[in-house]
Amino acid sequence: MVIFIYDQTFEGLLSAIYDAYILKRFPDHLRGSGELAALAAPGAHQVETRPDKVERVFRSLCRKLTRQGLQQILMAWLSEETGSEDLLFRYLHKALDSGGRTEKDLGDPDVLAVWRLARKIGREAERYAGFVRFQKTGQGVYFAVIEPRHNLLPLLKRHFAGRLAGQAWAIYDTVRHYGVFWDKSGFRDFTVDEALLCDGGLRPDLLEEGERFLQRLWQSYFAACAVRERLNQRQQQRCMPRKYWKYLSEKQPVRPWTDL
Amino acid sequence: MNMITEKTLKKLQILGASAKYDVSCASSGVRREGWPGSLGSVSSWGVCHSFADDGRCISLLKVLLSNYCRYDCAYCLNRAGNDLPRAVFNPEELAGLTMEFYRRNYIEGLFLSSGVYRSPDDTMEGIVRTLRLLRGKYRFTGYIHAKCIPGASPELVLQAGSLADRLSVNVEIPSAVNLKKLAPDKDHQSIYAPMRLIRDKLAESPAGRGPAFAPAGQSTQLIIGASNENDQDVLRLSSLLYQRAGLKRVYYSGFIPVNAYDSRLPALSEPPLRRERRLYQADWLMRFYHFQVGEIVDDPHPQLDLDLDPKSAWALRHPEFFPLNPNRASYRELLRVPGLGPESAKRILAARRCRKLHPEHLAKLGVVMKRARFFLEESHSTDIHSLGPDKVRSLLLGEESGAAAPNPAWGRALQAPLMGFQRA
Repeated sequence: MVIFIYDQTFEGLLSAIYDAYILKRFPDHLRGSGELAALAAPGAHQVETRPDKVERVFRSLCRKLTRQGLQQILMAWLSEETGSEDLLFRYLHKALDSGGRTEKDLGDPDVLAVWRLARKIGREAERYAGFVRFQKTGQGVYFAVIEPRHNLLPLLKRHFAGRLAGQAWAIYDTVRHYGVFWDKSGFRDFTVDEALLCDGGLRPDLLEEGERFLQRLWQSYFAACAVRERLNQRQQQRCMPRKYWKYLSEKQPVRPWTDL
Repeated sequence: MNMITEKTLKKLQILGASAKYDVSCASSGVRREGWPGSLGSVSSWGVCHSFADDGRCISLLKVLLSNYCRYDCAYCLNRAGNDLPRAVFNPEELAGLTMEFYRRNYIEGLFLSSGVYRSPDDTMEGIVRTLRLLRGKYRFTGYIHAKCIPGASPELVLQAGSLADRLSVNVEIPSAVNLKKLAPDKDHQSIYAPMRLIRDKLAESPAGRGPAFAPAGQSTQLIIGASNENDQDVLRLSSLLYQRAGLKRVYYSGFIPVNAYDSRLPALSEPPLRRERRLYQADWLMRFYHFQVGEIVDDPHPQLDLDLDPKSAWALRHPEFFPLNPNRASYRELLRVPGLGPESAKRILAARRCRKLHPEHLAKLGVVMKRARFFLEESHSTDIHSLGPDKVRSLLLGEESGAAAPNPAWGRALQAPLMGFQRA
């Protein structure tokens, strides 16, 4: 069995492709250098991640895949699902060997799997594009916390930079313990002391004075706009599963806003 | 904080609740990025920000500017004769509130309608002032849907169109006779005149050239079940509105008896939700599946089948069209197969160029085989000809009761494409 060990970055994945073509040896599995399984594979090839390899492979891919196809690969990569690296490796191998139609061949199980993976993360990103809730901090930064299944920040940051370019905002991923901060001109990754977080947002003492009242306004609107004669909480939960509620201000208990 | 006070809370409760019977919620139909110094973008597929307890998508802050109304329409909660709390937003207050909500990602934008408080022109002016504050003072580039008040002057309608993404004039009651009966202050003339004006202005300013006029087009709403029009009347009207008036959307609102005391209205034990859902499905067939209205409802079948979706109903009436071969059928033919939609049909077209497709491929491509299997070749001996339409109907009905398909208008409307993402 051929095993390649790489650094678990996207660039590393492309470098592994490069090495495979040079060595004319295609791995059955990719392993991260930190994984236990990597230790148990003594004859494994160690992939060195290098910009020239990445560049070379990326250029070839651009000839074989459309923009949508490239996007699918990146999204499948961000899904971080187990086995997705092996899957992506097989997909890229097929794409590079093909005449350029791989991404359309949904009858192929690997192509179908990548497409489904990309769709899955796309759906989660689309949900979060709506469900992210910013809270205004005392410093005037709009801050939101998310708990996504996939690594969504690279997708969400573009969406929100296009939308809320004129304000400073930050989104923090509590699963991966990193966030993206937009300072009105560029992005910066950051981490926070998670003791500052509570109830799906920031601790109340860090928020701007009027924030609680704004949330109360939104809660009132949310309650007022439901049509009583057509209550349908099953539909509500289907479209907005409970796991998101913790972060939605409209789903928090109504609290007096004057106690601060 | 820009005129937002505790009074705003009370107003928001009143004016949000008064706007809730307008079912339109979409923020789609146009795509726009913000620019430096502005705030807001519009994605072409629309974003749902929350889902209310009635399961409806909340995309826009949907409020009335005022729920004072001089009209006394039988079907309307806010009719002049009703004794209920009334309020008026100050345009500055509402614009500020919209911005605060938008900055927190609660909403995609604003949906502004109003009761007719002094005159149609006064009301429309208030709407235009609010829009102008948002677009001017706040440099808001998010989505705005504005209602045109029947009877308002053309000048104000045009101003609203130059500020809003979408305009709408609600027809409400499908036939002129019934409208006159239920809403004596209104007539179809006052509704269709602004609709025509908007259509003509839209035709003058093709997308992308010159200052945009209502780039997401216009829409309207029909109330279903407050008057005696049948589905054929309703769908023929929609079809005309799409073709002649160039509307982007017609919304159907199952009548909720808010004024049970009014004897001109039918006594309904519950809103006609199932009929509403069938109408939306039929509407979908006209807009995305290349169906003509006469194929969905005709003189022998003037009402939609409440137990079966209109496409399946059509397919059962037309067994001669089937079975189709997924490896050869055209796109338009595939669209006629129950269980297949535009997305899965396109996927089939792409995938079959690479290899011959078998039924097990189709299921993985997102085709609902439970319904499609009766209408495709290679489905072994289960197609509509061997089983007969009656048997297929009973099998489809078994399906239908098992899975309560979400209503397209009340849940999320369209599958969004994957989010735009390029390599950094």
